[in-house]
Amino acid sequence: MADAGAEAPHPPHGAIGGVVLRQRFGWRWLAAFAAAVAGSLLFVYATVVLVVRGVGVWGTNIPHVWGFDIINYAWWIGIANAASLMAAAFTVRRAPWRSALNRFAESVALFSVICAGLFPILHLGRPWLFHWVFPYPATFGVWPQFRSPLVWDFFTILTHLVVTASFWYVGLIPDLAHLRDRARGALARKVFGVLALGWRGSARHWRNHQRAYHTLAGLLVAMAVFMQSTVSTEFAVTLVPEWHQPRYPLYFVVSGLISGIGMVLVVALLARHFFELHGFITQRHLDVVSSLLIANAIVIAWSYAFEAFSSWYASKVELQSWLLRATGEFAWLYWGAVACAVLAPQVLWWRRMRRNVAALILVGLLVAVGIWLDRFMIVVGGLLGDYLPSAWEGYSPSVWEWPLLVGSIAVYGTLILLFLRFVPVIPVFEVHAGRRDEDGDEARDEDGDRSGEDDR
Amino acid sequence: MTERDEDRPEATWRSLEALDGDAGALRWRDGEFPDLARATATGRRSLLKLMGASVALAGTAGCERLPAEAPADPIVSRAGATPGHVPGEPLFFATSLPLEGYGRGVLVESHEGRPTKIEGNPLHPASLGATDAFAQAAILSLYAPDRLRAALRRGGGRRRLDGTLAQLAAEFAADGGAGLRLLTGPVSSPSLTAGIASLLDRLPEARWLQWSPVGDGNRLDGAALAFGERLETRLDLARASVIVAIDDDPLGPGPNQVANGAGFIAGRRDPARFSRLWVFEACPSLTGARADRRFPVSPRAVPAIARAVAAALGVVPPADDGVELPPGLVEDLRRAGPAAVVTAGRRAPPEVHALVHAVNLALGAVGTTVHHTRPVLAGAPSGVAALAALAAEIDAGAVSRLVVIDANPAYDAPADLDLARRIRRVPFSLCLASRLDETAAECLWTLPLAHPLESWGDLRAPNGTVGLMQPALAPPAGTMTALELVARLAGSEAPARELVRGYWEQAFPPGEFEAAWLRTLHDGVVEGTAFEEIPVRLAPGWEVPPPVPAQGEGLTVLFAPDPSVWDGQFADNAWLQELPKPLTKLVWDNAILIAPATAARLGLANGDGAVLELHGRALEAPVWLLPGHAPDCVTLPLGYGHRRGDVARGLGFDAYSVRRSEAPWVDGGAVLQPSGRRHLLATTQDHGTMVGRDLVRSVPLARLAAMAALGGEAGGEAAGEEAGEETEVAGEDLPSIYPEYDYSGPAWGMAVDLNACIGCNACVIACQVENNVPAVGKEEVARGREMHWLRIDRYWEGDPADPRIHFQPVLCMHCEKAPCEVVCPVNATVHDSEGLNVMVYNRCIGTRYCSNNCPYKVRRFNWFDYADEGGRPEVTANPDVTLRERGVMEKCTYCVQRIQKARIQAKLEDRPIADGEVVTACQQACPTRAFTFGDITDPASAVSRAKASPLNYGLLEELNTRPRTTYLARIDDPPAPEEAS
Repeated sequence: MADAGAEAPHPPHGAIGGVVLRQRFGWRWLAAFAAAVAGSLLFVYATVVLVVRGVGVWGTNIPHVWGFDIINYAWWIGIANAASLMAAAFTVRRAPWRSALNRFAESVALFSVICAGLFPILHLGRPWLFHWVFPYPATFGVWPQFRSPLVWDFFTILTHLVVTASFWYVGLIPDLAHLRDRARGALARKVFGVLALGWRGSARHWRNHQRAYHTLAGLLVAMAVFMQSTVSTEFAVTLVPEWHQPRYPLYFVVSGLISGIGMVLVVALLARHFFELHGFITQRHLDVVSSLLIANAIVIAWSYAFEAFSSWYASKVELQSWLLRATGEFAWLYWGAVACAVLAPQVLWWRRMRRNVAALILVGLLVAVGIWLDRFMIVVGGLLGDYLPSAWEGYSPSVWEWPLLVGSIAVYGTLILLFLRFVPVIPVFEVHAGRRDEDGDEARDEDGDRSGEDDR
Repeated sequence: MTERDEDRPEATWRSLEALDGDAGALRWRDGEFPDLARATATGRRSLLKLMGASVALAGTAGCERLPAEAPADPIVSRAGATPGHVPGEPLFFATSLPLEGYGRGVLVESHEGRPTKIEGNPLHPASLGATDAFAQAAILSLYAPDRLRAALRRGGGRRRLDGTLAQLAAEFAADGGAGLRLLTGPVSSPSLTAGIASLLDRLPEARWLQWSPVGDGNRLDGAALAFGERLETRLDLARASVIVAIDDDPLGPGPNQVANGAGFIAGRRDPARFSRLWVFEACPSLTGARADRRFPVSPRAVPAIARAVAAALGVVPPADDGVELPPGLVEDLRRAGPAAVVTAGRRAPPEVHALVHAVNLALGAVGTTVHHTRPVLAGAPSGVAALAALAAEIDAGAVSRLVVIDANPAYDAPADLDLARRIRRVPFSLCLASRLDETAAECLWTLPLAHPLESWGDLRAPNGTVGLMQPALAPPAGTMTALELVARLAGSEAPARELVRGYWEQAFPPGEFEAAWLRTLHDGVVEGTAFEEIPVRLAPGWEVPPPVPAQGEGLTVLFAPDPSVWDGQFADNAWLQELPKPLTKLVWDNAILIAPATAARLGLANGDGAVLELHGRALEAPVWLLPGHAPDCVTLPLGYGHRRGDVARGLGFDAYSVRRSEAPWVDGGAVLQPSGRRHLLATTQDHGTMVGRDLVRSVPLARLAAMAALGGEAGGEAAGEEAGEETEVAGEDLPSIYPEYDYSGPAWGMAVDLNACIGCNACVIACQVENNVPAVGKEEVARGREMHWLRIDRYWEGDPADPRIHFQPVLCMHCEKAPCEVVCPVNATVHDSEGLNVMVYNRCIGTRYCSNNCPYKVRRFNWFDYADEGGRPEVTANPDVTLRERGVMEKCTYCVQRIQKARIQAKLEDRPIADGEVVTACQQACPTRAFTFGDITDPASAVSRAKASPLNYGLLEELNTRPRTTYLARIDDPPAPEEAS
């Protein structure tokens, strides 16, 4: 991998495209890939057990009818939405430094939404009938019930998958053409050629491409917010005291956002390390992402505080419910979420931390963990103080729920590893264009750390 | 059958050749049901499979008798039903089920020859149309997988029992029955009593004794002390205005529960004459839960309390033992006079009963609230003394033959008698048992006992009324009833039906018999057989019994029958095992019940293992903290820790193993120490208090008069204010964004009278049986996956040392604005045209979202394929109710199948459905008529009238779910503040 950069220090085309075109799989990649595939097989196994034996293999019960299934779903969809939002917002704002992060964000979004989309199907008592949620002219007259947030959710996931995939793919077309042009093998040329959709780089192509790309980005900004809010309605429209709260849509957007940013940061830093992309992912990017993390963490802190206030303000039931969540059996989840999602990003106020790759990766992972704990606390903790104390019951995940979490992360890892290997991880054309633009901006870039690039 | 047996003995007992005692029996069973045998050693999943194996058994029940063995007798069904019988329509048979020897009248609903449901027999005095939980579950025992189906011989041997029985009869006759002891359960049956009497006439040397580990003999012995003769005591709580229960549980399980419950609630419906209940008890009981004034006292204090009451009323001279009665008690009793009643329980010694009898006599209560009749149970010696005498005789070698009929002394006798070992020492022992139980395992021969639903017979209700037993289905070949065995031993070969009929032929006037017999078969009760009341007066030699000395120092132990498995006889019934015990809400287990304060002192928490040492015997068991339990004593529920039985074995601990014959009910000198082990106990209710919420409302009696004066609407508010601190706006006043429904026909609704609920669980199990609800096993319940559609929430209120106890049956509320409906993505739960919130099972994809949005948490989910894996043999299933598949949600339907049935009938007759025509399963089973169901659009319907009560309120109605099931607040008569101080 180190040789990728070494062989072609300039121009960047060589560096990025080379990763894809020269299929020299390092042992580290292979080891990671093998581990990820093994984890994915575990996921498949857990799914087979689930389908053969029934959802009873989980630790779910009445009232905790949802466990890891919905926790994982809410977590992944949050990451997906946030990463989409991040990529789209950068694109719409035409942020000059965005190009290095964009494709990571898009890919994280796409792969997360794939992981997320599995859970709503797997969590069903009779998963083979999931298509009944879709309005189709069934001869036996089954028809969705459009007042249900699960139907909204179904469309949300579908829309998300289509739009994110389109955004990712449209952004990829010029690069696919680039790969087609530089590929040596006949097969690679053919495959990239088909995928490039006949891109020749004419001015008209560029104009249409930019229009399509920006239109999708604009759509995605609106939809990411909208879709993440929809996920929150799954909880907010219910009667459950801890769920039935107006803060939920905003809260889901913000908490999802931070986990998505954290995840993009982790993937980008790992790629930078292993593919020597220091020239593309610079300290400036890390500073921007750090600021976003800090800002988000502050909003989440506010959200937690508001929740405490509104529970106290709303009713005795909600206050009892909140207290159970913050001090009861699952209090460690609550405080774990606070520590990971609110406090951990605060270390990024220090410049030293922002420059420390290990610290950044740790914060990124902690944030992701924190939001997972937060989702656990919402799905499980929300029901702890339900209306009838007689129905209060504990929940603990069974041995068949953990493989689903670990396995879905492995599926995600597999997809990311394949992405790193087969797709230009940074938009070649944008870096190229960006470099031209930024040459003029260099003077304004206060913290511009271009050394990594200049050294070469 | 018997004549044919004579002709072809090898045909009748052909399976015996394969059987060489215990091991052989197991091998036989293994061969026939290999899965079943393998399953026994393992956990829940296997248990369920095992229950499923009953299907195989049940499936063969119909072809049980091969043509060559077929009896000549037809099964006689309810007169008049068969000629007009439409295939597919159920038949109902009137019969009786035994409990402690007493009969409980029931109607058995039978579909195509399969009993599927049991209802109360309105003509029977111990039922009045309702049932207890045990009766509801009787159907499952019929299909118990480990029921004996052939004779067994311990340790092998190739003799044919048929020859043996005939031989036996001859042998017995030859030496006058020398050394023969007949040990039965309690017997009230006139025909069986007569049968045994004639056997004993034939065999003058033989002796008969009765044994029940939880018998109520002390009450009769008390009567013997007080009145000079053993008399039955029956309470009429409906006429009582002051009830004082001293360690007694008249509302708890037992043969009198249904009648007592109905009577007690009848005396508390009208606020103008509202009875007041005082309870002194150690372990909270159903009676204690309804007490207006409850005092947790050690059982050691009971004799002194009884004596103090007697002394205060001038029955005995006051004792100088420093016992102080609570203020107001004696005044209450004096004021009520004949309308007062004092009662003591089975744990109380005869001396206490004697005092209580004398007190009732002095109050003038005898004849109004207390009735004495001659004993219902046969006069043969009974109780621990009789059993101890038997043990002594066995030791002396005086017993050469022992015949045990429907009793299990090897399991449930006091430990010091060690009957298991002693029975084995008897040269010849014969046991008639339904399972290979502990006693059967020790006996030389075991014969299979027919289930009560397969038997001809008769049983007396507690008031003496005879209820007939008639079979609802043919017994498996080879099984016999107690009556048949006794007849065979006396040399008679008549089948049970002939024996019963023959007995009653003599009892009726000649010429009228046929008509009377048919009517009896139809009604299930023999008219005019209730016992006459016997006037009593104190025996001339009546002396004040000496106070009973307290035994030993240290912790006091009291034994109690278990509310779910009684003395252990129902331990093989999965429905009863999974029935949450009313106060602890434990299932599939018993535990040492202990006061929270005492547990804290000993460093014990729920589920902690503890070693209990009692006079040299010890057991290890989990403890369970029971608020309201008296301090410094523990309760050991009996009936668990079986060593035999596929379902029962290994569940809970055996309290009989520390029970002593000298102190069978209350023992002292126990030591309880933490064992360091943890036990998994499954409970259906983890949280016991209302955390200050307004869930169960109650109104003090004193306030009720004021409410009535205020009138309906305002009264409702008052009821609410009284219970909860902040009553929010009632549902009807809140706006909703969803349109109102329009009802052209009936709209169903229910009112549950919390004032009538005694928490007896009959409705829970009735619902389970009616609606094909599976039992899921202990591990699944521990995970929070019990399937009961109807549960009874129990809440503690106030001081854990002496809390108030509330029961609240919770079933689907059928909300008018149902939160479950709007969140289902596939329209699987919808509102129907009659207001029901219906569940469309085959549309459900199992998102479980509906359960999340149900504030009452009444929805149940099929996490596994419970219906198919067993839980319930399919043959017992109600054919009118769908079996639910894995992955679908289910819940209470208001017994929609019963509504449909009524609707079809009404349409055939071209009329609207009448009020009261639809009776839900819970409503039908309830002894106290706590449920009212009907059309709420009809202002004249019973349910509309109930809902018009100022006591009516909706659970969580502030959520605007507009529940169709509403509650009537409980009326309480708490001590006035000045009285309490």
